[in-house]
Amino acid sequence: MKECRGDLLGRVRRGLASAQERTAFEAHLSSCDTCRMTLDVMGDFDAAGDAEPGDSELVARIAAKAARTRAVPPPTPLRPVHRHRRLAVAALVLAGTAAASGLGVVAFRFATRHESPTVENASQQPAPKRESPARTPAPVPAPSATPEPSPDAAVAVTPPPKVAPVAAAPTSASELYRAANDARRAGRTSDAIRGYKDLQRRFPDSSEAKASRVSLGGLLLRGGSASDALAQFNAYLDGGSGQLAAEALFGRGRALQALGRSAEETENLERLLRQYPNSAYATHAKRRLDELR
Amino acid sequence: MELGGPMLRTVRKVIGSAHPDAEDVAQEAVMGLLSALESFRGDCTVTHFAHQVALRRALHARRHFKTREKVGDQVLDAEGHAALDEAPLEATITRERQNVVRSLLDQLAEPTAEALALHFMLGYTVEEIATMVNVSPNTVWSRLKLGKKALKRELDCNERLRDLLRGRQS
Repeated sequence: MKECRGDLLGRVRRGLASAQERTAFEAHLSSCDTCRMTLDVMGDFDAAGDAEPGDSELVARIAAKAARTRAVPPPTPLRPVHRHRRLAVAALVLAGTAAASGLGVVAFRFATRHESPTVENASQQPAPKRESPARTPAPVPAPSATPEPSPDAAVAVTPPPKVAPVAAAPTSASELYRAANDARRAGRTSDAIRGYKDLQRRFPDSSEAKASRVSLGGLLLRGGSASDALAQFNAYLDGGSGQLAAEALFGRGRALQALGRSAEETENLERLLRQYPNSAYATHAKRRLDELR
Repeated sequence: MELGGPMLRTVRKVIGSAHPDAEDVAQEAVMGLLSALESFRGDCTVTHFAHQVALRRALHARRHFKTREKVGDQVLDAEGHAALDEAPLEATITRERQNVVRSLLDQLAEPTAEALALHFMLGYTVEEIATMVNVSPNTVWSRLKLGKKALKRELDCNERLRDLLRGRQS
């Protein structure tokens, strides 16, 4: 298999390549299977794992658990700059957690080079908004015996950190949304539909309720309730632009198709192509438009 | 700088967005990061370090899932675009290729799987990976070469993917 050494692919993907380099890269792609595959697969993962509605609370919950389980590690006699950096990072995790638990703000604020003299000091101060430009972390040459990160290291039993107590979370929009999503993924369609409706009734103005309209629309459509599904997709789109607008337009098109409303379906597909020409739904939309014309 | 979101994102890339244990794995990754801080010597940025910890935790979790056969890849990666039952072809191809990559990570030697995931899923360059895992760029190149060769073989042998790609061309 041909092996291409060089960082041109990376430079192109990061938008750092010159026009000349891009042209050269495109020419190279036509003759290099491996680079084509690499580019395709990297593109597949670009959007994978992106933020979803309810993530803010999810991350805050993770931070709160971390704070409850583990305190700031005690100072150890390493080089001062390392000790300070480590303490600053850990303290700021917990400081961020306290903020998150109190204000509902997601904050894992880390500072690589923020040198705080003591844990107490660091934890009492707000997390720095940004790293000092003079100390922007350029990769440091690796020493010969760098310890590897140990994600599976046992968590030391330590006293609870001094952070604000975290109350048991009440039933929230994100919890309802998560439960309904879980039900949908598990194939419990009735539970999922009930969950999404409950969410929309109890938290009508939440971002989760808005996102749920697309999921609920898909379930209703699958169940044969095209009119109800259409209402859900319309409600999502009427609420202004959103991250799932392309999906909502796609769903609305399928609902209109099921209802035999061809003229509106055509109009909807044209809108989908106009507004989201590069979306994953564009190919399908073009094909369907050809069928309709 | 916020790291909770990026760590969660890394976990989701590796085990799948819809995986029911994503939160737990992200939680373990954060705990792992806190533990690993004691060994952090500033050889790379904290962001890179956090990504690496999350990635290792997620790779480990995948192998653990496989061992106990709790969930298969079809369940792991069953998240569709907003639950629409008939995803368009491009989205299906993307998901299928993601599944192939994720499955391959379970089969490769851990250093190779880590290099492949850092490169393909998180977009790190060879130099960046070398700094993160503290090996020479040549070693990273070798691992990536092995990984890419295996990936190409898996992609070429995947009948479903071949059918999908044929459908795209027609």
